[in-house]
Amino acid sequence: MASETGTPVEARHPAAASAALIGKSVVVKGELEGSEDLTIEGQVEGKIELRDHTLTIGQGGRIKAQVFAKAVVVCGELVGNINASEAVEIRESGSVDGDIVSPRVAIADGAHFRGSIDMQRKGAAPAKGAAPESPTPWKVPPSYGA
Amino acid sequence: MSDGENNRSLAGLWNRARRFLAAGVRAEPAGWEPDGGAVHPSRTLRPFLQSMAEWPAPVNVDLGPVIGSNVTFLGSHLACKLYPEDLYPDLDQPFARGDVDGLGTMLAAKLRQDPGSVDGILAWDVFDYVGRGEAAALARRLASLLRPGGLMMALFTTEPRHEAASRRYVIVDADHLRHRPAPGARWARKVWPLRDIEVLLAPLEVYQSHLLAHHQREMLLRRPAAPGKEG
Repeated sequence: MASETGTPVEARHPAAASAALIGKSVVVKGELEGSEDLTIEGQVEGKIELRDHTLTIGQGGRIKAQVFAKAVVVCGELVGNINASEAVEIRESGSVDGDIVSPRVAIADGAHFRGSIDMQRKGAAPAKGAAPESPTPWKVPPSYGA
Repeated sequence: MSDGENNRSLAGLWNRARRFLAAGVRAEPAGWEPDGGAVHPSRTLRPFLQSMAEWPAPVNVDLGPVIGSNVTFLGSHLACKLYPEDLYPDLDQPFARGDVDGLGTMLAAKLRQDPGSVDGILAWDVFDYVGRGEAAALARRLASLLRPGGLMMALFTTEPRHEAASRRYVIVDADHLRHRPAPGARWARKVWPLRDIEVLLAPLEVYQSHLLAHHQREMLLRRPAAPGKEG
């Protein structure tokens, strides 16, 4: 499987090489749970739970589901919310319509995204109603790259 | 091939290489970066970020298109909740040039955050592309989203221009923005005098204002905490 850049997904995500695969012709409706990495090239509707593993949606993948995983890589289409404990990456060919909750989110130029992105880290205080009493101003380093 | 011919051949090759290299090194404007647009200093981004960092999980609205590196930057440094709400394509619609009701409908559909729930708004140069009535409606809507003490960062051109391309603002670091050209059917950029900006954004108070050398005014506007002044 190759990404939009021609780089095989397996090359950047070695786990994908040994991941379970839902092929192009497969349509799944319902709940998917697993304890190994999963790559989807087909269609899934419902809910996907890979709490401690990586979900890769290949370029041919069409997902309409709520996703819970450690990491999610989107090269195809996903309609639904993503909750990833580590990271979400939307590649150039990827499309996401839904809200993302993850401490790290990377969106490639050209990717489609519509929704909100919640990058609060674990342990961060929930949304507040008033300013903190003794805020600790964050000192921006003299220079750091994007 | 004799030694002389060989030397002449090598000299010719070297001369061609020099011409090729010389042609490849073009004099670009100061600040030009080959990978898409000039990099200009920003005076308001750093104070905006510092203010947001005072909150444990700030809620931000970005009125520009989704730019991956901006998302990554804001996420890694602020751990924020971000709503990318690209208003620019909607402002290209005909209603944006005189139909305040149409704009109001669009804004209500796009900006669905609860009033007073947003800590910061990155408005970029969105006000450059709307008329007075529409800008006032937009300003009221944005001001209502901000919590008391919340900030809005906005950029205003100081010279009239009609560019075929719009601009995307890419955060390079806390002190610099890359003004990346992007295709778009933008209307002529409007020049807002400072007094007009203050009136237009009256629900908000001017926190910082900087006139920059690249023909742009950068402003940080804050929703006042006093109940009587809230918009």
